[in-house]
Amino acid sequence: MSGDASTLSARPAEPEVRASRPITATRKGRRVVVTGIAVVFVTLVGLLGPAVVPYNPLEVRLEERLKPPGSALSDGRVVWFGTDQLGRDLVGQVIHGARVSILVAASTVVIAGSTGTALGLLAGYYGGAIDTVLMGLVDLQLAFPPLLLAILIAAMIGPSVGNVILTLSVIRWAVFARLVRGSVLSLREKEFVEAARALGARHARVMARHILRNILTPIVILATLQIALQMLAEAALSFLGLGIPYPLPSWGVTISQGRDYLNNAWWIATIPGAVMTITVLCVGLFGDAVRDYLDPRFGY
Amino acid sequence: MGRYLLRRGLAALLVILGVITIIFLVVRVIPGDPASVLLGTFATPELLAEQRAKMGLDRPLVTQYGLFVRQALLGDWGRSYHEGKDAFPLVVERLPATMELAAASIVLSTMLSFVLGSIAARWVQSPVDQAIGTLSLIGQAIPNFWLGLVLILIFARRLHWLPSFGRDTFWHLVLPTVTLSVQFIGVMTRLIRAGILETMGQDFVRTARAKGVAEAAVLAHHVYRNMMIPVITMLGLQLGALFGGVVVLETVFAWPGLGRLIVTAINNRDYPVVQAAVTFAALAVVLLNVLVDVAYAYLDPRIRYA
Repeated sequence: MSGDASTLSARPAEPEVRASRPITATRKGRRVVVTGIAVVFVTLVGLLGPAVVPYNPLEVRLEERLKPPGSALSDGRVVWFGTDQLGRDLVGQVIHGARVSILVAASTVVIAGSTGTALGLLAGYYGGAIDTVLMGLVDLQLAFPPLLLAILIAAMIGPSVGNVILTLSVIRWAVFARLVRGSVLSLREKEFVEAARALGARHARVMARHILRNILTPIVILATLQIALQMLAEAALSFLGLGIPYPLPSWGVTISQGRDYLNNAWWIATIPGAVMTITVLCVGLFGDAVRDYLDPRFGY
Repeated sequence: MGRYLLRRGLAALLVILGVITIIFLVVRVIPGDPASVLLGTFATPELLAEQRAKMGLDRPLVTQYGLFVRQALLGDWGRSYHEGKDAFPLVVERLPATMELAAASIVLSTMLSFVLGSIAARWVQSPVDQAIGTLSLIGQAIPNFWLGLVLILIFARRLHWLPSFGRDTFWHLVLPTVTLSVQFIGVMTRLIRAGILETMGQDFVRTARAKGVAEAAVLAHHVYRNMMIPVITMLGLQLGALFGGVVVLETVFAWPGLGRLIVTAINNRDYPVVQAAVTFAALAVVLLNVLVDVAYAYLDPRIRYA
């Protein structure tokens, strides 16, 4: 990021390409690959699973209710995770729950991430009143417990998939805005930014091509780490009845219903939660691996 | 110290005003009309207009905001639609239970994370360190409401060792506190381990060792004291997450605190109580943060003069 001639050209500051060493050459790189495969696997199961595992959330088969894991149904099908209080296969519910969880987590991180990045960029680049107002808002929001804010908003706008996405986006933008603003502040005074301005580049161009490109790494790292948090938040909201509305399958909803059957059908609450823990753990490990690989010093 | 207290107090007041502002924005600006919510199916256009006027909803937003802040500061949070009592005392009544759970969890998780973090840092890269690292990652990945149910299933329903719900004896506190602490321990252990390792590499630690200070004294007087700042900062940030967890877990364990009040009130569409309870939970976080900061500034003069 020095001000040498190459950064003065019209196509500036390509992110430094590591020498042609493959990603698997280091331990950190291999961790990214292994955890990445796990995350891709979970995502694929969530996306494609509904096509493979037939599951209709509205189908009630009371004669098959509360079957323990591994038992065979009357039509000979084996339910590996058991059935719930309405006779629905828990494998189907868990896979559909994964789908909702991934959809919500990914879309809220994208929405909150891009909004927060845009606002943080504006605040850091222009400074002055914009900065004061935006960062005031960020400080305010960060002082408010995020899940509590989500509960309040969700209670006001009611449960639906769209509303969950909206709610969880609202509670996360501030983290991105603060990170981006900080990074912009340190870049704004660099020679290549000054040079781009001197060459007549407009502010929008400088922000998009010269500054944003150079701070993508911490943004990507933060986004990966936030996905696991958003999955947990979605499940908590759904568990309280404020997230994904019944009868759409969601991990939180399924666990919440299994609560009433802890004594005679332990699997309804426990199995989806175990699957969820493993999924969140995979996503978290992937986030950590990406962070260690891209920037060992980056702290969140 | 006096000047620091004043500055910190003023900052806290600003944050409190901010919390009230956020509540106002969420409650009043989000689409949806509190008057029609209140009247429900009985709403006729005339009744609605009358109710809106009574609630001040027909005035400009800025006027509404002024009124809202004034009433909030005076403790006038409206009446519970459901119980017919003022919302404010209902909330105050529930505060001790929530604080008890939060405090128990903060104490337990801070102590355990110090022990685990120190062990991991002492034998860094060893199997013990790796086991602690893995466990703390799992701790952060477990959804706490699910963990609560699993612990209830094992320790209350199967083994009959501990009660599964309510707030009565000390034993009632055990399961909710442990559940709430797991995630917190996960976060804090990693942080404390990293803090110790970073401080161990500093020049003053080398100097202390060079002049012959015993290793235990190096740790106690030089390492721990200096790594506390990031840990305390993180503790403050985590308090918000902790309170989010309390709200969810109070539902799982039928713990009669603010969180359960919030969830019940939401189910009853009892919006004044929801508002008051959420505000109080948020204020509790702000105040705990101030306490943490002040306690630390008292111990470390560098914070006071920063």
